Amino acid sequence: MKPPNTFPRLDRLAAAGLVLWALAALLQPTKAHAFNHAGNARLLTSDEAAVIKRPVLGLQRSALPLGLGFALDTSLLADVTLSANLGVRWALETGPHRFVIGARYTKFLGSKLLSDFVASKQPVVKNLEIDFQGPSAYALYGVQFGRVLVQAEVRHWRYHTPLTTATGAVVFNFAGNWSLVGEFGVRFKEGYPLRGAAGIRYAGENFGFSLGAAYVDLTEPLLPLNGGRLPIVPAFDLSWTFQ
Amino acid sequence: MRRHLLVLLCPFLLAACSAEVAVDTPPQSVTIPVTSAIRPVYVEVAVDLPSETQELDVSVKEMSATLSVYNPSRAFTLKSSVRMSLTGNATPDQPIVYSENNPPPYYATAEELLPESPYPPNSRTPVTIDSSVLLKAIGKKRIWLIVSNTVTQGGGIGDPLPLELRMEDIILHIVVAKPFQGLEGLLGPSGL
Repeated sequence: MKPPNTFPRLDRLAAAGLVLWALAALLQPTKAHAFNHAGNARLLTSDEAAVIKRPVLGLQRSALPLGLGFALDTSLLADVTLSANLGVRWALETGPHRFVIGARYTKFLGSKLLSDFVASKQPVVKNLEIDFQGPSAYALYGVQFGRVLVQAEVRHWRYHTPLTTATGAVVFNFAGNWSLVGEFGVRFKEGYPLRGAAGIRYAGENFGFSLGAAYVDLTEPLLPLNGGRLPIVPAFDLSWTFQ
Repeated sequence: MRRHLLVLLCPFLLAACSAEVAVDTPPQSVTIPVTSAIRPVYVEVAVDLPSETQELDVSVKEMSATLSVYNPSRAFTLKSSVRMSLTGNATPDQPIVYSENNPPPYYATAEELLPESPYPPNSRTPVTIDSSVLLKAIGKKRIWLIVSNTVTQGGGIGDPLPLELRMEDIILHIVVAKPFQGLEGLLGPSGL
C-alpha cells in the first residue's frame, strides 16, 4: 500500500520555485560589494578560491607571494609537529571567477626523536619508524556572487596511502569582515565517506581568524575517547597578513 | 606497552601515516630438569606477547625468537626440541614440568619450532628460531613453548641425576606495521 501523498504536485512546484527565487536573490551579483578574502586563503578545512596577495603568517597556511599569482606556502601547524612541508600555489582572479592550483611536499622529520622517546618510556620498543611523507596536489574553482563565494576543490594526497577528496564550499559574507563558512565533501574511497565543516570566519586587513567544527569521522581503536571514534573535531585558524 | 602510547606514535597531525614498531619481549629463562636418563621430560613455559601484536589492524612484518641453550653437564649430551602451543596451563612465573614421558594432551597438536638437536656437555649454543609457525602467535595474548629434553649419551662420571638444561634469554623479536588510515580526516584541519 502506498502512503497518502500529503503534498499536492502543485504545492511542491511552488515550494521549489520559492527556493530557487530565494537562492537567486541571495546570489545576485553586486559588484560594489567588497568581499574580504582571508589573507592566507584558508576556509575551515580546505583552501579558499582566492589569490594570496600579501605575505601572511597563519597556522593552517603561511605564505609568501612571488608575483604573477604564484606563492610559496607551508602549513605551520604541520611544521611545528615536525611534518615539514612546502608548497607552490598559483591563483587567478578574473571577474567573479577564481582559479587555484597547487602542490605540496610533506616529510615527517621526527621519526628518530619519537623512536628514542618511546623507547625511553617503553624498553620493549626497540625501534619505531613513521612513514609519513609524500606529495599532494589540489585544484580549486570558485565564483563570487556579491556576498557569496561558491567553490569546489579536488585534492589528492600521496602519503602512506593515496587519498582523494572533493569538497564544495560556500562562504557567506554576512556583515563587515565576518563570514559564515560551510564545507561539504566526499572522500573517494570505499563507501564514499562524507566530510564537512561549518563555522565562522573573520577576514580583516591584517588579522584573520576562523573557528568551526569539522565532521571528519576519525576511527582508530587506539583513540582513548569514545571507543575509538571521534566524528567531529574543532577547525581553527589564526593568521596575520602583512599589508 | 600501554595502548594509549601507540597513539603518541602518531602525533595529532600525522593523520594518514603508518608506524612500524619493533618490539622485543623481556628475556625469559627456564631450567629443564632431567630426572631420568631414559624417559624424556617436558617443560611448558608461558610467554606473554606484547599488546602491539594483538591489535586487529596490525600487520606483522617479521617475527623471530632468539635464545641460548646451556648444557652445564660435564659428561652428558642432552637432546632437546621446542614446540609451540596455543593452549597451555603454565604462567610466565610458573613453568610446568611434565616428567616421566607424560606430556600434556595438547603436545600432540603443538607445532614444532625447533627440531630436536643435540647440545653437547658444558656448552652454550645460540639459537635463532625464524619459523613461520611463530606467526600463528599473532593476535594471541600468550603462547606456550613446550621443551622436551632427553639424555642421549652418558659418560656418567661425576654427573649424577638430576641434571638440567637451561634455556636462557628467550626473546621474541617482533616488527609490526600499524596503519593510521582512520585518522586521515585530520589532514584538512591541519592545513596539509
